[in-house]
Amino acid sequence: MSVNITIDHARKCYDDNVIISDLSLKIREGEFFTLLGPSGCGKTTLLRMIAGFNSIEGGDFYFNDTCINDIAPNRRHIGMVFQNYAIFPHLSVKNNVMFGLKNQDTRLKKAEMIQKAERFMRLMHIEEYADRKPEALSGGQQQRVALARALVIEPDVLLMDEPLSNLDAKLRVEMRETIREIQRSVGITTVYVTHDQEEAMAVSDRIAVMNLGQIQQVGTPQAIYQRPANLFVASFIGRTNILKGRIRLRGGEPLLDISGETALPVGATLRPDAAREQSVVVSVRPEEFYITQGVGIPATVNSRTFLGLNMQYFLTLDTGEQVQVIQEAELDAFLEEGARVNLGVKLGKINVFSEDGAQSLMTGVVNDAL
Amino acid sequence: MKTRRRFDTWHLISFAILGLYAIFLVLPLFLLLRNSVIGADGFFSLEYFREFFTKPYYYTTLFNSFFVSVSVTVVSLVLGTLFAYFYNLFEIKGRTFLQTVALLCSMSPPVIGAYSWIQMFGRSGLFTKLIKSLTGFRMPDIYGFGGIVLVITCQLFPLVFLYVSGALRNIDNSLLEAASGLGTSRLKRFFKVVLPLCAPTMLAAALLVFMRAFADFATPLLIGKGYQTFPVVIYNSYVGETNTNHYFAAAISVIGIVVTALIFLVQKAASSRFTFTMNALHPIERHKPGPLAGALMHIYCYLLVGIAFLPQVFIAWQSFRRSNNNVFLEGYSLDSYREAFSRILGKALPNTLSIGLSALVLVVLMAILIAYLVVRRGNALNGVIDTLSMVPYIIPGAVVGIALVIAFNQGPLVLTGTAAVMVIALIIRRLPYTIRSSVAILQQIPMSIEEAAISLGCSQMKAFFVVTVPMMANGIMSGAIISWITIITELSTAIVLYSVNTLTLTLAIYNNVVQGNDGVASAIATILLALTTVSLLLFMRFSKNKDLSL
Repeated sequence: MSVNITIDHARKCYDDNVIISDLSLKIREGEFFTLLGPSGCGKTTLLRMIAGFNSIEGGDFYFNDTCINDIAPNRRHIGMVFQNYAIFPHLSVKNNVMFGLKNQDTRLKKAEMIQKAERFMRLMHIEEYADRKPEALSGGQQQRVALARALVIEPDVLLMDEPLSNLDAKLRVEMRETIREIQRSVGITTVYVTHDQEEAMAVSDRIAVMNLGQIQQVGTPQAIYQRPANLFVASFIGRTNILKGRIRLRGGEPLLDISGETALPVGATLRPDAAREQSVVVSVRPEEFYITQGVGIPATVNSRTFLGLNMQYFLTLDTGEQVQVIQEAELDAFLEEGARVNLGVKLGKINVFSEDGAQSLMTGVVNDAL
Repeated sequence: MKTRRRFDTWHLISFAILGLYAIFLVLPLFLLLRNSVIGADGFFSLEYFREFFTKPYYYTTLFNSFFVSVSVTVVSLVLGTLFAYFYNLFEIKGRTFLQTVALLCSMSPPVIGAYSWIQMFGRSGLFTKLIKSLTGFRMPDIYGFGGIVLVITCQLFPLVFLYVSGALRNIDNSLLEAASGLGTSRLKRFFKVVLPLCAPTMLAAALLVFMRAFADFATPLLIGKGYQTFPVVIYNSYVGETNTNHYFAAAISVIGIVVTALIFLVQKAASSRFTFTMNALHPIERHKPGPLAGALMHIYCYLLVGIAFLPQVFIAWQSFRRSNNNVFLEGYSLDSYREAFSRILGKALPNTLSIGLSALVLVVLMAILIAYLVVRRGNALNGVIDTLSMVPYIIPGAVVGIALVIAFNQGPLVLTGTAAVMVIALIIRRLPYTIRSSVAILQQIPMSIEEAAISLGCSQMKAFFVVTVPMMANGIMSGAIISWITIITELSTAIVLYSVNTLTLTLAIYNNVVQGNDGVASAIATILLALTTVSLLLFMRFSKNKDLSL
């Protein structure tokens, strides 16, 4: 049975060192929810509080309406997948998978246990290794064992702590599809921790971006990429150019100046209450620039990198600011170093933030953070 | 709402272990300290300390012990390091054999070594007489300072060899190649690269060797003659035939602890100055030495190990000689064994096995629990346990014995003369080593393995026994065998604590040596050596990597 998870004013500290001061969050039943953030942001700490491996210094954690604060971790009915797999090296693959079944209150018959274990081993494509010791398996296979082991007990919640970070790049992509697929088919509430924003976007229904023990934004991958709630989210998710800018009014219409008097009409996407004279910071992703001979921000090409699909340019604006621009790579058509160009921006896509970066000034920002 | 701090089984275990330490370590040491400052009139007095430091008969033993220990440490370091260097950097033939024999040397009880050297080169030793009759030349005396250093060194240089070998295995080959690439000669490389990289390990080995040499009491007792060392004085003032004075013994014991504690602190300070960690991706490749160098290296290694092993071979040989009324005759017989078995089968052998096994089981169990508390449950209480568990490391064996007698000779808990007190003494003495090795094993096991088990429904206790302990098993097993060997060869504590009912094999050897029953003593010694050898071979089967930590 899947549950929803409510975290109400959670607090975590080690003596005087506060990791999470006050954090609230609602995770919906059956969703794939990711905690994303740089290392040290408190995402693993929060996950381990849900699991019960970390003490809770304040606030309440609920599975549905049940407060779990005082329930021992082995009674929370969770499945957990660890960064280092945590496979029991002295047990065969099959016994690893059956381990949790043997600890259940109402013990199944041996035949039922084996049947169940075999079903999940098949699901994870590890049935052929059933009688091997884990040391004979590759990292990817070990992680499959770990996943089967966590799922076979049909837990209320599946918790995953950076499960893919020990795998090589190709296997990582393959495994994350597997994880996503299995989660969909089992329909279990899943909390997933990662520092890899691409991975987070690939697997999640919703993502909570965390920094310094606080939630910055909660939303779908699309929402947080396209309309980040603040400058941290904008720069942590994907790559972006951060530029100084200024909003001024002309005839009641807000105009955005980046790098000189560019006067970009941003009225369509800017929040009405932000339409006043003020300094701002602007996030322009590399693909939100285009190189033009027409009107634009004047810039000089420093260097370029050929990435196959795209060509990446590094340019210096006349204000001295450095920017990256990505363009589809054309046959034999590229800019030389030192070339003078103008940069246009795709107006609907760029994001404008208050001068301190703390909040977005755009309409259409979705943030489910409580 | 805060989570409640759950009071679980591990807290209970913490308190239980702390309680045991309080009763069997803190209390005896406290009483020892108290007794040391109670004068003949029953009031506080420093008269025993004054007596010790004003009478040359006493205080010179402190210097003697110090000279012996320093000499043994230096000689062992030189011999052992050189041996390890040849052994690990060059192709030496018969490697496993050399290592096994070296290990056997380090594990034979000191009493056998000292006794055997006397039988060979003593005043009426076999070789002394042989050389005299062949050449007319009278061998220099083996008794005294030189003899003590010889016997103890033979036993302790293998420890240096083991430690330094471990360090050499952690040196990455590229470091040596880099040194050669920079134009360093082999000799210079040894002094400028290899030795500094091994320095922390050599310091650790030096401490171990010093402590063992300082506390060794059987060797100087047998071979020291006029050259008295500190543990002998402790022993004599405690169980000697004349002038036994328990208060004075307590005072000397306190002095002994202070000295070893000082050495311990000096070593700590020295080793903290160079700590670095190494991990070899590419271990050192062994080279084939040139013909001359190779021959010299082989001679060195085999001569060293041969001399150190000679006493054991000699004792084994002597045990098969025919004798009559303690005079050896021509020819061979099993009479010594017949006699030996008739003496030990009743008490000494069963005692050694039962006392040894009880101590072993408890040591392993407690070491696992304490290691878990220290590694996984770091808190103030367990910090205290950690510190307490290391205290016996610096206390000479005889002192442990005396402290236990003082505490449990009277009062609510009378244990002296029982097998229990022997077991307790062995546990106290062996725990520091076993805990250290268990801690090292446990640190290699990631916490998440246990958490995985808990998330799958195990209680903490169950997770520990179902997952963690089996994962530690291999390391524990090989550690246990080493503990077993040290337990069955222990003498210095047992000699203070034993009674007629708790006689053990080492004590039986000692008693027969003292009584001059050479054949029987040799036979029992050989039985003990056989027991040790079998245990060691078992160990080598169990431990995968053949790396030893004592």
